[in-house]
Amino acid sequence: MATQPVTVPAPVRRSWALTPRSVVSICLSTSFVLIYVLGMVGGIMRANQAAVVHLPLDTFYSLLTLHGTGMIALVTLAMAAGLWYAVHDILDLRPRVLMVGFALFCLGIVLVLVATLVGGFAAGWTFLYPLPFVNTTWPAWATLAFLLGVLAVGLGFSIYCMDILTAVVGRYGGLLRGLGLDALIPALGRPGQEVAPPPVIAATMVGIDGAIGTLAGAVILIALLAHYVNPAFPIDALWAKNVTYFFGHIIANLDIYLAAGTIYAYLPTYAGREWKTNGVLALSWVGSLVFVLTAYGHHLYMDFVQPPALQFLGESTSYLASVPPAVVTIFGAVLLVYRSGIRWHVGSVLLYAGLVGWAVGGTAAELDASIPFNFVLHNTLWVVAHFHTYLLGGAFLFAIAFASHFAGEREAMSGWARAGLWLLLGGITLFLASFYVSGLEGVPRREAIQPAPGPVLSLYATAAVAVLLAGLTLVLLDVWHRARRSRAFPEEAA
Amino acid sequence: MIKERPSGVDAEATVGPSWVADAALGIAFAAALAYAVLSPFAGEAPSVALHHLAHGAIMVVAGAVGIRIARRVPPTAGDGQDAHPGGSRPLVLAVLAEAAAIALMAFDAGSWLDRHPALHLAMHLTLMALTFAAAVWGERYRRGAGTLVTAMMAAMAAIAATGFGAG
Repeated sequence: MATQPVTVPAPVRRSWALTPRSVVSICLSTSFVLIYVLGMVGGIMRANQAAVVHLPLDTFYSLLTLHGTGMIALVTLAMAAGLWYAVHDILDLRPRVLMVGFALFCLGIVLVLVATLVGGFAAGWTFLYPLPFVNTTWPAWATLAFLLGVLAVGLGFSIYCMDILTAVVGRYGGLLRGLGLDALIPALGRPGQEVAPPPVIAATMVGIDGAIGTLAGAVILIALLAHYVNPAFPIDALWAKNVTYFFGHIIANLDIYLAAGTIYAYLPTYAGREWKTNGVLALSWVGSLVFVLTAYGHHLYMDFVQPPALQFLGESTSYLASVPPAVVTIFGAVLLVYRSGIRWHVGSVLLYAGLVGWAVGGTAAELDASIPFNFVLHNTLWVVAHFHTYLLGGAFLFAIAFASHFAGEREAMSGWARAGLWLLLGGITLFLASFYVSGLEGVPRREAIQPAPGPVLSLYATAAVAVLLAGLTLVLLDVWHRARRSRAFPEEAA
Repeated sequence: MIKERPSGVDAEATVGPSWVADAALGIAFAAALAYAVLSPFAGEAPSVALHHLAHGAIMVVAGAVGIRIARRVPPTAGDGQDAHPGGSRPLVLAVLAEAAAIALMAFDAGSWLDRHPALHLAMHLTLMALTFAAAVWGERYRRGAGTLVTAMMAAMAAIAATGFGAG
């Protein structure tokens, strides 16, 4: 008897097209690969501070510049893609515009890589005037490449923000309604139109602040480029510092607000509860919109010539900035999860863990923004601790959470993923603890060689980086495996 | 279900244009143009802050004219997603025009432009042209985008007024 051949269904092969999923996949893959590499660079710098490896000083500061600039840009890219995906259907956003923004991000990152790794540019991600021009250890073209690189990233984010804002205006007929203010003031509403959902409110806030922040960035970068071309071009150092930190603080802050939009979109899917817009939520986002723009002043406490009114504004809004996220988003997320019977998977675990990072990092920032504490903590590793807490322990975890959700989480969490999560979160905790203790001990930031007890604590941090990278490897491999599976067998993953 | 899209044309303006608004805009444009042409040849240069704010004002007028015109012209094949889904070119061009206007301001410091009033005049006109183009491209991308781009360019001038080019 002849045996019948057994037919095995072949995996679905699809041709590549510019779809929302494909563009978001590209953004996420690129940012995760580069974040992983820059994470290793961070580990090498900590090993240098622990005197385990010995980098030439100029190399260390080039790597520091690359790590700082690159990480901010890449976390922004990952979270921008996440929020874009969460709102693209509601706002009718097109993948081609996101792709243009992504291309400009890539151009900028390549220029920064060339400026730092080839040219040795080492003025720090803040590129504070006159550092890029005075007593440099790098060729002039490296300064040009760096400034153009940051400008390209800014342009990419500007296009992203403008696209979102115009889409909000098109969909809701105005930015006030995009911010959900018709939930607070019903007279603002339009008959028959629903109030904007929370992810759209977050996107609108990010769009407004991002557009203003990148504009300020463009102004200071063009001033520096003009000074590069013509050294007689005058730049007021205090003005330059104000505008640079206005730009830098906004962009670094927006990482977490981009992430907040994805929390609103995806945490409810795990908890099985809806996150609705109400007047308090809308008001909190208007508050965040204003406070993110005005809180940068805490970077200039040591500038005695800064007008006192700006110092007061900086301190007061730094405090106020914590209220909306803490009271509305973080507390709201805890209530959403409480007794919900939430389905714990990689995405939900990291969304929840990221909330902890946001809360802890925000509290540490509040402490540092308080002038009596700032006398002790200013420019110590405490500062580095707080922004690593909310970027690495907050925004980055939200980015992986989104990627995991995006890849599909139909099956139960694998053992590898579970082990990876323990290693990742444990490594991050140890890593951050070494920064906090160093800061309390007065170890200065941005130093290749540290006074005691810096080197010992840096050794712990180096070990922690190895642990967190091991965990990250396992988690990302698990996400990648699920993404491939859902691509090959879409009907199974759907 | 086919989603209904706005046509990109200001129906109200097409049916019954507001002559008062047109006249006001025309007067504002004439004033802005007069300032752009005459101020480089005036003797006393204003402060850096006032100079940037004046740039902001003439750019707002040029942008408003661009928006007004763009809303009356029907969309074409090269337009953005209101007319042709997926088109990103007008938005990219609008943002690039905005960036070019910022870059142009780099020439607006020190005494160099005071010594070359004709080039100063050319810079004013280019700023107006860039804002006009950015506003038109913005509106061609999506209704309302021209207003946003023009507002951003005015904001750029306001930020510059805080100290761009002041030593």
